[in-house]
Parts: sequence; structure tokens; C-alpha cells
Amino acid sequence: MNRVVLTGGLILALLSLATLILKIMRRRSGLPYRELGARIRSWWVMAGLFLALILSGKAGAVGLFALVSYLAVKEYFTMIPIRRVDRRIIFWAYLAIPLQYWWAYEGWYGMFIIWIPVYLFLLLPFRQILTGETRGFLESTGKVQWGMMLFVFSVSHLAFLYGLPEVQGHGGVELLLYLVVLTELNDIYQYLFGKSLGRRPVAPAVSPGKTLEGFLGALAATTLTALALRYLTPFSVPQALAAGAAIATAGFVGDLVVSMIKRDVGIKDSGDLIPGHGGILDRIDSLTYTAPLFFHGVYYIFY
Amino acid sequence: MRLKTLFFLLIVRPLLLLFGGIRAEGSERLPRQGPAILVANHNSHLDTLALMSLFPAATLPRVRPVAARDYFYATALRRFVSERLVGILPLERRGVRHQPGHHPLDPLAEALDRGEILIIYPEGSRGEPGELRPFKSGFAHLAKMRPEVPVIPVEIRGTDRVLPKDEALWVPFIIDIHIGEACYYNGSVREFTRRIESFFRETPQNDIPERFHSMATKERSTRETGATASTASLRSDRSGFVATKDKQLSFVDASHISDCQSYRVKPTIFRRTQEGDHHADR
Repeated sequence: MNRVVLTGGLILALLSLATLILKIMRRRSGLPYRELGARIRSWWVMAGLFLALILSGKAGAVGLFALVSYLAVKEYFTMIPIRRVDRRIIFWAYLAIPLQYWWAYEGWYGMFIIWIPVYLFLLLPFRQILTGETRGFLESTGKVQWGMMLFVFSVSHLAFLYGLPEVQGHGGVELLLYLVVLTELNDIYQYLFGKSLGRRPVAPAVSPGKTLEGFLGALAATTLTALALRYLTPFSVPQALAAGAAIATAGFVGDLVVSMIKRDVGIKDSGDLIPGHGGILDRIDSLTYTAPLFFHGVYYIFY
Repeated sequence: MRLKTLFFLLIVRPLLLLFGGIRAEGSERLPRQGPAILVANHNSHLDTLALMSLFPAATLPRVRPVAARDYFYATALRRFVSERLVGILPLERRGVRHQPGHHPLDPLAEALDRGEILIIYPEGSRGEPGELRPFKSGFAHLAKMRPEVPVIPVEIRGTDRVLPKDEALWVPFIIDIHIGEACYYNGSVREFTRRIESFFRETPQNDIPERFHSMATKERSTRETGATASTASLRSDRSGFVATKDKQLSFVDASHISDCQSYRVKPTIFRRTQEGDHHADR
């Protein structure tokens, strides 16, 4: 627990540094840097909420992730084109969220891991039969199930991770903090390296801002950070390096996957819930990929 | 504190926040004081609640949605909600005769004279999801009677997903509200109705399929105006507003796109002159 507090302190120190740099930049250039200012302010709020709730205990942490899932999938459902009858399907999908997080809270692994991929997968088409609308059945069921997989099932791995029992003196909360800090730092590293060195776009059609330089720079930096934060985990040095590299790569892919959706429906930001960041989808996009991968890696090796 | 204010602060706002969520664009253009006429599209009972929830508590008592007395005062419960909680301005639809010296819109004009902010749905009543019905000209007649009162178009999207007409099941979706710039009556009633209506309609690219359309709109708006990302995302979230059966209605002759409409595409090039009118500064 002390290690969690220490890491929380480091995060807040880092944010203070960012705020300080912003002030200096503002004074030097006389420009307001409004977007960057809003972004850093939002980081303060998000980091504060996250740290406070994971320190408050399991209920707070699981509740936070459930809320994040709900808000994210709501943004997703708002974004995609739907038929009128899809409201009923989506209603049932929403009801699956509290249950998914209940299994995570209870630590009922078997149910947690099949609830959305199996039971919801079987339930949604059943509900479709009741509506009787055959046209667009496949597309609608696919879209709803896919959103539930990415924004509820994937994200709920954070909640289950939190509840994992201690391994070599390291509790789930430490692993969770390790994963989230690395994922978010990787986003920031990508942004910084991309802004300063970025030249070769990786996937110009999907997200023109993503560059090879940004990815590689972040890959190196995240892997090093993973090593530095190893004190939160039972990892050996090679394991920490592998975890860092995996998080950097998966985070990059997750980010692009959410960009794919936005491209498909033709919007830039998924919302405006988080000033300077866009919607909640824009913030958790990388986590949708890093959370399940990291979780299953850890679960396979240590549990 | 009035019951209406409490209703909005304690029930409507928290409910909408958790089981909906409102993205408002241009809420700084909402009037803090009356008189003003808000003209909005109407597909759900939530339209009124969502729009009113954007007003600060101090202004709320002055905000009066104009609604049909025969429907909203029909039962005791409906009347209680309409009168005490929402504070509608009941409008007599039936049995109104043109008496010399009396205009059917007099009660509305009097409300404006008291400094109230009226919400008017010129489609008459709620449309099917995604449908925008032709505007009736009542609001323009009212604006003609009080030409100094600003008319503010407000586009509401998403309420028809949360709670469509004839549905009781509430399903959470985000509601987008886009508040336009104030317009003042000029020209004729017909022309002014069309001008305000054109704010709500897709204009030049009606025949482009929805998905492509939204991208085109976004790219155009960001390129031409440097519009913010949120503008682009709101504008492109056209979720079926141009329904196929609505195609014919949606067509608006490009020559009629006047200031209040085209500022959406080019928000920066309009200036308000001293007469309070809008002129394109091309």
C-alpha cells in the first residue's frame, strides 16, 4: 500500500511539473495555450479521482471502472447509426454492465470471463427475435456486441485486476496502478515524441497524427518506465521489459482501433466530457487493449 | 425557492446527467434575461426538459415553453407537471376566434413584455424520430409583433433516441443541443419562417448519403472556418435527421440560405450591426 501512495505522489509531482512548465511557456511566449491548459487540468481531475477511488477500497475502484465503462459505451452507442428497434437491444446491453462489474467485485472469475462473450452474445440475438425486425439484424447485433466487448468486457479487466490476491507481497491494486500509469504515460510519450520528431505517419488513413517516431519513442520510454516502476510488481527484469513493450504496442493499437470507429462514423472526437481530451472514449481507447492483455499475461504467469 | 427550480435542480438535471448527458454547443448564447424567443425542433418530451436544464436556476422561472392547453392540462397530473413543475405557457388551440382588437398570439406577446423567455416548437407537435416537419409560422408572427425580441434557433438531437414519441422505455444516449445566434425579424413572415427553418435543415448536400455527408460537412466546416472539433463532431452527428421520407421536405433552395443559416458553416463572417440585424460580410 505504501508503494501505491508513493506512486500516487510521483504522479502528482509529475503533474505539478507539467503545470509549472505550462506556466513558464505561457510567460515566455505570451500565448494562452488554452488547449494544453485544459488538457493538464483534466489530467489533474482524472488522476485525483482515480487515485482517491483506488485508495478508497474495492467498492470505490470497481464503481469507478463501471461508471467509466457505462459512459464510454454510451458515447459509442450515441456515435453509431442505429435503427429505432435497437433501443431495446441497447437497453439490455446496458443492463449487462452492472452485472459484469458485480462478478468482478465478487471475484467470480468463471462468470466474469464468459458473461459478455458468451451469455450476452446469446442473449442479444434472442432479444432481436422479440423485436421481429429482420432487416439490419446482423449489423445491429454485431455493433452492439462489439461495443460491449471493447468498452465493458475489456475495461472490466481493470476491476478484476484490482481484486486479485497478493502475489509475492504485491496486491492487485499495485498491478492495476502499474498498468494504468504505463498506458497513460505511453499515450503522453507518443504525443510528445510524435510532436517533436514525428514525420512518418503509420496509418495516415486512420489517424494522421500517429507516427512511427512517436510509436518507437514511446515504446522505448514506456519500456524504461516499466522497469523503473517494477517495484509495484512481482516481475523479474525481463518480465517488466516485456510488460512495458506489450503495453506500448497494445496501447498504440487500441488507440487506432477507436480511431477506426470514429473514421467510420465520420467524427473527430467522441465527445466533450473531458476538456482538452475529447470524449471518454478518446481517453480510454488504449486501455481497451492494454487491460485484457496485461491482465491475462499476469494471470497466466502468477495465478 | 420555487417548485419549478427545485424540480430542475434536484430531479431533471441529475437524471439527465446520469441517464443521458447533454453536450451543449453555444450555451453562452442562451439569454440570461428575457424577452427572447427560442425556436426548437421537437421529437420528444425530453426536448423541453433538456433545453430548460441548460438555464441557470436564476433564469429558469422566466423560461416558458409554449404548449397546447388542451393536451397538457387534460388530466390533473399532467396539469400539475405542466403548470407547476415545468411552467408552460398554455396556448389555446381550439375555439380561438379572431375578434377585432384581439390577436390569438396576444398572451405570448404579453409574456414577452413581462420579460419571459418563450420556447416554441414550430413543427406543431412532436415528430417521429429523426423527422423534421415543416415549420408553422406562428413564431414569425410573434416576432413580427415584437421585432426587437431576439429569435434564437436551437437544434436538439438525440432526445428521439432516449425517449422517442410513443415510447415509455428510457434508454441512455447523449443529447446534443446546438444553440444558434440570435436573429431578428425582418422581411416577411414567410421569409423569416424559412430563414429560421433553414437553420435546422441540411442544405446543399441533401442527396449525399448520411455517412459521407457527415464527413464532407466536417471537412468543409473545419477547412473553411477553422471550426472547433466539437463543432465538427456535433454537426456531423446527423443521426438520420434527413430521413428518406423527409427528402422532399429537406430540400431548401440554396438561394434562400440567409444569414441565420449559413453562419453555421461560416460562423466568423457575420457581424451584428447596430440595427441588430445580421449581414454577411463577404
